[in-house]
Amino acid sequence: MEKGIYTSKLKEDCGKYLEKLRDKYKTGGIWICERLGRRISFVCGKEPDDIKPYDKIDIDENFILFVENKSDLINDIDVILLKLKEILYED
Amino acid sequence: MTENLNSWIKNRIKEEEITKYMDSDKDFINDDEIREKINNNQNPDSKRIREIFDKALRIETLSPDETAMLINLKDTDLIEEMKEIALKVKLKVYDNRIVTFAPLYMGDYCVNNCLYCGFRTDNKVIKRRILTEDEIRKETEVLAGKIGHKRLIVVYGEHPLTDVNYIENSLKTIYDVKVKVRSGFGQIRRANVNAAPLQIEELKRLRDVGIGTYQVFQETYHHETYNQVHPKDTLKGHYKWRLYCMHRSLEAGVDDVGIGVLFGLYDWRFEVLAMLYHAIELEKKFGIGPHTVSFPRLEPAANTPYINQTKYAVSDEDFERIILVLRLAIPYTGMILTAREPKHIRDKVMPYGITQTDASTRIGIGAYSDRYTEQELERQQFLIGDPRTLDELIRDLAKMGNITSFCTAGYRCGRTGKMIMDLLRTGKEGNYCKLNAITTFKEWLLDFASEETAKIGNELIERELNEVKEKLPKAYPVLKEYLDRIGNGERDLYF
Repeated sequence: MEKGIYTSKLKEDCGKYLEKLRDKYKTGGIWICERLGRRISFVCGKEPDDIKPYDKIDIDENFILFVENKSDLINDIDVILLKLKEILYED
Repeated sequence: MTENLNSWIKNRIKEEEITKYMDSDKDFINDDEIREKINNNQNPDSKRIREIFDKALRIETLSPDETAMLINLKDTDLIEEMKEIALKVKLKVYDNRIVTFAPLYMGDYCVNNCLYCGFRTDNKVIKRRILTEDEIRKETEVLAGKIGHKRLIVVYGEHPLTDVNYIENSLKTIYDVKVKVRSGFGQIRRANVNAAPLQIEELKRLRDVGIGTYQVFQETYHHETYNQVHPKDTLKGHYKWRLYCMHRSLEAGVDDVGIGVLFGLYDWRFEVLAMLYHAIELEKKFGIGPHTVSFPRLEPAANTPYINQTKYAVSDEDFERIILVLRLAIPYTGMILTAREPKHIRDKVMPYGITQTDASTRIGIGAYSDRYTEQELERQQFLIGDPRTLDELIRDLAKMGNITSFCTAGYRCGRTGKMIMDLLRTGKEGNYCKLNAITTFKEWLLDFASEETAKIGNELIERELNEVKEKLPKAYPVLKEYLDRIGNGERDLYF
């Protein structure tokens, strides 16, 4: 996938998966951004519920996962990142 | 040179990067329809107007008919009410913060021949040059190290000397400058770009180098007027290449775009409605409206008599209406008021919903770092009206109850594009605005403020802290911690 060009299907798939994570792990806001040089541009997901610092988890050199509350999700993070990569790089 | 120039010009416009976004053979600005909307929405009743006010307060984009009603509004009581609504909309979306920036002109070479512009190619009285890398560095050192700006709008003419390679390199140079100041360091954190329409591949290069907002003004949306003031045989004479450049930008991943009109070229009523059509088109195609709108008025320029010939000069009263209507019609957008306007106008319209403004403004090429202190029309695109320094402006804004923000957090943590649209519409972004305004304002007071401004500014911060404690209790302890860390010399902490 070329950087910055994400299809609506990718956004939809990714959004649905983030929605599941949000429900399962009670993450509050959870969203993915793409590194575009200095820009960190929004790809998909749900904005934070509250105003407080959020955590950033590198998916890889291109994408970052932002989570409002990562405490429950962190135990399964390896599996989650693998799944996200699968979706993000799906042809 | 002429042959190379012609070849460069010939290869600029890619028709396929226009037609791909078009739903038919016509573009999305229908002059007749806009005129009809204005003519058919005269004399709205007060009940309907108040419904429109309520819609704006829900941060919903108004329809063209609703906007035309506001344009035509004559009831003085309702106009006064509209001023209050405009401020409420602004406070809901952005809180009481005003973001400041400085324009940085990189050159005055241009291949176009726009009748109203001092930089037009036929204007022989202009002293033309572009900034070298070393000069860009010096200008940035003054802006970031002496004045204390964190955000620029970098302005480029349309010319092979300031093509995308130049833009890319100049942005890298600007971001590279870091200057030691009183107790921290000065640095430009967001460089917005005002340039000619670019191709998709070029926009991707600017995206990767860290462009903030990509700003291109249509100047006038009225087709006939556009063709009159932009000669047909020039690049800028291509209406649709310019009109669809924001589509290309959003496709390229530069998802903060700024639109604008140069008021005074055609009827302001038409232009305001056309800007709304532009916003609606972007919302429809990309789910993202304009990050900012600009509404400069035509100003005198060297050897440029056009300003005396136009019959569409905008009065101060109409200028106020333009701002009020735009604030309500596109309630989520940032609104930029520049130092083109004199102090008394800026003071008056600031509460109508302005979100960004400039100060310590110099628009001559190299004018921040060279020996010149006076405006020189031969080196400038136009004359500026408000020469206040950033320190003076900040003090005046603070007296009006506005906190100056140097926040550049959004595009560094993904609050861009669709995300920021949702946050703006729900009023959540306003909370981020408040918190980041306080932290960045504190940094500026410590690093740059005069004694008088620091006193007034610190009093304002105390009031803001009390408000945060009450309204955002969960964020309050973190904000306090950030302020302590800033006091100890840390910089660039944001929410």
